[in-house]
Amino acid sequence: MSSDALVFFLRGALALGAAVAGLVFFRFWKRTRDRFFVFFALAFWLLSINWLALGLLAFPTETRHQVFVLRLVAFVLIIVAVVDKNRRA
Amino acid sequence: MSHQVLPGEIQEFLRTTIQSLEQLEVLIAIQRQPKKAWTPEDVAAVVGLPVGIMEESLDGLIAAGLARHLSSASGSPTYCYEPRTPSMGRAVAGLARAYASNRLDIMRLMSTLAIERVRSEAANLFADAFIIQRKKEPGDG
Amino acid sequence: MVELVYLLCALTSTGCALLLLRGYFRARSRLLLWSSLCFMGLSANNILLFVDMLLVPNLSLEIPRGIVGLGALLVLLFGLIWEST
Repeated sequence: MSSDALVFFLRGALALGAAVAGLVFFRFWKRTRDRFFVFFALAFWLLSINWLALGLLAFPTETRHQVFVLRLVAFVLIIVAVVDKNRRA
Repeated sequence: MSHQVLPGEIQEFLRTTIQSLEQLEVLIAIQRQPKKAWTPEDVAAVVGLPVGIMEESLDGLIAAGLARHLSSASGSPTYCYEPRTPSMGRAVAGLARAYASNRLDIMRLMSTLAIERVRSEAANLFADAFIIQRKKEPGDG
Repeated sequence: MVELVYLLCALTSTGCALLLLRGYFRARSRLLLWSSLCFMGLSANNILLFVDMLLVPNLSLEIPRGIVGLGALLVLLFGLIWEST
C-alpha cells in the first residue's frame, strides 16, 4: 500500500471510529439525561467530520489546513462539557 | 410493548422509588398489615429471604419514605409501613393490586429496570469522573 | 497561532485522561480505564501534530499520528461496547 493510500485509509477509519463513539455517547445521554454526554457526542461527531473532510477533500497534509477549526471546536466542546458538569456538581 | 398492561403510574413508581426485587417483596408484605410492627425476622419469615437482606430493604423503604422505625422497648429494630404522603399510599395500593393480578408483568418490568440501572451506572461513573472537586454535599447525592 | 490550537487539544485530552484515570482508581469501572487510555492516545495524537508542524516541518508524521489516533478510538470503542452494553 502506498503511503498516500494508507493516509486516506487511516482518515476514513478515524472518521468512522469517532462517529460511532459519538453515537455511543449520544445513547448515554438518552439513558442518563445528563447533557454532559450531548457535548461529548457533538465533540466526537465534529472530530469525525474533521477526518472525513480531510479524507474526502484529499489534502495531502493535515497540518496545513483550515479543517483544523473543527478539531478546535470539538475540544472546546469537551472543555464546555467538563466546566458545565462541574458547575452543576 | 411488554409493559403496556401496567398503568403508567405504577411503572413510574417502580422506576423511581423501588430499588430492587427484594425491596418490592418487602413492601408488598408489610403493606398488607399497616399497623403491624415488623422485625426483619418477621419479614424474612413472610418473604422467605435472608434477614440481612430484609433489614437492608426495610432501611431502603424508610429512605424512600414508605416505612418508618418504631421505637421499641426490646431494643431490636422494628419497622412499620407508613407512606410519607397520601399519593404514595395510593401508588402502593395500586401496586399491590397489580402485584396480585399481574405479577408477571411487574417482574418483567423490574428486571428491565435492573438492567437499565446497571447500564446507566457505567455512564454516570463516566460523567462523574469529570467532577474535579465535589462541593460539600448536604445529603444530596 | 494555529500551534496553540494543537496544544490546547493536547492539554484537554491529557486533562480528560487524568480525570478518567482518577475516576478509575476511585470506582474501579473498567470503562473509565479504557476511556482514559483513549484520551492519552488522543493527547499523543495532538502532541504529534504539534511536533509535526513546529519541530519537523519537512518530515510528515501523518501516518504515526493516524495510527495513534485510530488506536485510541478503537480502545474507547472497545470499552464503550464491552463494558456498557
